[in-house]
Amino acid sequence: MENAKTGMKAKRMREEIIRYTVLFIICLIVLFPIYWMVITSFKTQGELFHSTQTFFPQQFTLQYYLDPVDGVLTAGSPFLGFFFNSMIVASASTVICLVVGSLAAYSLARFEMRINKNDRLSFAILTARMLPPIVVIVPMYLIMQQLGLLNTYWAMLIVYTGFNLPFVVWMMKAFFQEIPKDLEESAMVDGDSRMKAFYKIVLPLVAPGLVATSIFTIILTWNEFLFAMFLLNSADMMTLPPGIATFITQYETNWGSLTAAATLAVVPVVIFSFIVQKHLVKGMTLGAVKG
Amino acid sequence: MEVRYENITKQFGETPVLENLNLTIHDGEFLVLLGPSGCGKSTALRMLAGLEDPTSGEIYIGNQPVTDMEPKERDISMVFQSYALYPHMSVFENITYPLKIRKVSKAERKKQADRVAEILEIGNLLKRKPKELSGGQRQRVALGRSLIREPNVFLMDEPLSNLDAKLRVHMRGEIKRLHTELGITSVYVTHDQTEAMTMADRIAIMEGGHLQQLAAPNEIYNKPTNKYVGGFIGSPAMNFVKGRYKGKEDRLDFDVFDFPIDHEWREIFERELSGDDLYLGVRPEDVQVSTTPQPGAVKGEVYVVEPLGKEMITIVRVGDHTVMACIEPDVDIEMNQEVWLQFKNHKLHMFDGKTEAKVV
Repeated sequence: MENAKTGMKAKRMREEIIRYTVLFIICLIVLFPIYWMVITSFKTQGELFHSTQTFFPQQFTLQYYLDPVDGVLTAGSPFLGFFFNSMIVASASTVICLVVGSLAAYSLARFEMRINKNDRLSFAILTARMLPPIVVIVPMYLIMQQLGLLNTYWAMLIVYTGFNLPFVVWMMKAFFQEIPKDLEESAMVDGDSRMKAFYKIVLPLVAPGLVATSIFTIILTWNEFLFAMFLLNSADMMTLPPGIATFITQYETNWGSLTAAATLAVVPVVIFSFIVQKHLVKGMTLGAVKG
Repeated sequence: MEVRYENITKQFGETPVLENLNLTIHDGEFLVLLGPSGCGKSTALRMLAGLEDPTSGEIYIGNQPVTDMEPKERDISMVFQSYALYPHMSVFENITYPLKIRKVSKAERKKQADRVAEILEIGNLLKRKPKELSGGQRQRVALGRSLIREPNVFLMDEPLSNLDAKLRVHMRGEIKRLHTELGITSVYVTHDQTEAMTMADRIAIMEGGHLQQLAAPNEIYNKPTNKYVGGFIGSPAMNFVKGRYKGKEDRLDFDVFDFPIDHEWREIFERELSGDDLYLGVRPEDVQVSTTPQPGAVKGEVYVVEPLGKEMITIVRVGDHTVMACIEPDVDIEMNQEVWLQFKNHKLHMFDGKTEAKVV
């Protein structure tokens, strides 16, 4: 009896060890490049190009961040402009995507439309994601040129909204389908219009879905490189990904500034994810209907 | 308020769900829409609520045509089968939601919530969330939400079907009492005939998108207008025996037994029957079973005996027919025993063999 118990315990122990080892290795693979980026941004010029690289800066420096001439956080540094542009484009396109996308998703989830027979319309919306962006980049460039939208926020908003909307629609559609129809019908009988029932009853219940979807679109737009690279070529309009790439020039790569800028670029996404992650917890709708 | 359905037809795509429904619900009445699933009863209720649009026809609440009105303009309240409580709101917020929409002051909402909570005995639950409640409590909260204001019509869509048997019987009584006290016109949808019989002022029996009969419970039970209604209401169900009308011989022929008729009946059959075929309908409690031969009784053999305590259900084979009888529990009969059946003459129902409409 006692033996069996200790045997069980040992077995569980082994399983735990294996599980944590695997998790540790995965974390290592994922986090190591980020770690390397961060420490590189604190190394001195000499150390950066030294033949032996270290896992921790021997001489800790903030020169790439705060140097009065070329620190990325110094007033007038191009980085601040990139950052501001990225903020504008990512947040505006996310808001548009969520507003338009959740309304579209709601109607696809709730109404029987002839045009959406066998999910035809939903699928048609998804086809916008079927082409790899590189395929449409040249036509897109020409279109934006004709419209006079090159080097504007509008170009980025149109492209990002167009590309992210299908994902938002499909994700939100799944969330809406989980909400029992009775709830908003009940609200309508109680005296709400459909629109009011939508934002007072349904929307609070899909909040976890909205959060998940917004993280998803923000990260996608924040990281997007290709379109930004082609459609924004003046330095004052660039978003972070192409902007950071300008630290790599024909003659040299400014590793210090590049990693410092990249480190700062990661920060908002990390902060945002930490803030909203508690809303990701599902199960709010449990107990709404039946037993 | 009076509710009227005028020539209401509803199709989902090509499939007709309701055909030409005409139904008037009197002011203050408790009307039960009864029928099997898919008979169109829920659709009829949802159209009254405004959650579904009729394909054609007009619905009136009072004298007001409401067919083109939004649900919120109709001033109705509804209890859903699933209760449809708002999960992110407390019981108090759920119950007072209709008042909040109508911009009623917080003090008044509190007062009304306390009133309703007292009626439904849920005063101690007001702060809880729906997921922290049992099925019966949720049901009460759903009722409370529709009782908080005085609507024109009170709609209930199978509100008791998710409760266990004991609670269902209890809530059945509570709802009936509430209706008597409040006197608000109520429409109640169910597939449970016991609920319909016990609660309704009048029952509307629906089947296949048609209204089969609209009458008070007793009349439905005693005078079903057609074979469907006769078979649907009553448990155990009415016995049907197929036979033929033999006018010249003054009898009805049921193969293994005959049924003599007088000229009064003959006149009715001549007038009402569409052909010669007919069904004899008799309720199990109107069949008498005796173990000795009786004059005019039909001989049969006991197939199965099911004692239920207060009564005993006996299934008797008469030729190819099976007849069910409810008899006193202390009668001593066994399987395969020969018995003689007698039908209470004044409790017999005759239905046309083709149209299935009631003849006598």
